Amino acid sequence: MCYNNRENEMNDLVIKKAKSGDRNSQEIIYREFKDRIYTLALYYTKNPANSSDVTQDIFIKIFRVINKFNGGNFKAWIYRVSINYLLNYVSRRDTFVDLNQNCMATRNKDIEEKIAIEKTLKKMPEKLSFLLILREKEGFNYKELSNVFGVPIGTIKSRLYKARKIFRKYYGGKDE
Amino acid sequence: MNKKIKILLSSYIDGECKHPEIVEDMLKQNKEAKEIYTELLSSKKIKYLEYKECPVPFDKIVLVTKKEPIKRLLVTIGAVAIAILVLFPLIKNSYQNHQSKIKNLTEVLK
Repeated sequence: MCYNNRENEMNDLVIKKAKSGDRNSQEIIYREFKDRIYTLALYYTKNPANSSDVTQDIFIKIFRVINKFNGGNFKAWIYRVSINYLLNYVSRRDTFVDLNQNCMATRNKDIEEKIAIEKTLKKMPEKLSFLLILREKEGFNYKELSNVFGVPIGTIKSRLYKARKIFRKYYGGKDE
Repeated sequence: MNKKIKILLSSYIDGECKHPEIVEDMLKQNKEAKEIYTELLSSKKIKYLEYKECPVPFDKIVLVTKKEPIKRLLVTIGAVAIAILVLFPLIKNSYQNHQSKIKNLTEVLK
């Protein structure tokens, strides 16, 4: 689901149909966001099986409350519902599961680096890792982040600084 | 270094700084600021992470959401049935009392 002007109309139509319970439209939304939400859940639960269940629950929740979406940035709304669900209803596991354990034989430098980044994100406080993922991976601006997390832009600024500082600490093994 | 300046550097990385020229001057002149800026930049690596493929088929979402109204209906019917079972004896007693009072009153009036 792209967010350029031409496709916005189609997206509005998809959302409108999904609100009325149209399964095809709900499937379009699901296919667009399922991997992102699953990955987010994976960083949170650290367990692929749990993440599948959680992703399923989150989308059930999304389609149950989709009527509450009153326009604006749909992607931000999806993330807000998902993050609220994760933080409020899912307990975080402390045991670490290597997300790339099946790739052991084919590991190279790039994969090693990705694993290091994933490990770093999993070590971080969840709110800060979510914030960094939405900023760096999804490219959300401060206003959108403020909308997703329900805090003022000033708080987003200071949390992003803190998140970067912690990311650097764990990723580079450097304090301050 | 002042925390506000560090937050300013972080905002500059995001292109959300109101006066980027001030930060650019600072980065040219202040070695410590440049070092902090470089360290904060490491979070940019997150961009290269790939999404993991979600193994849950859409059918699973459909099944559960379709079941939901039936589940709600069953819960409602169950709640009404329990309420009737609990309230029925009370209502019955109350009705019988009322009837006997009317009967007594009718006899007194006679």
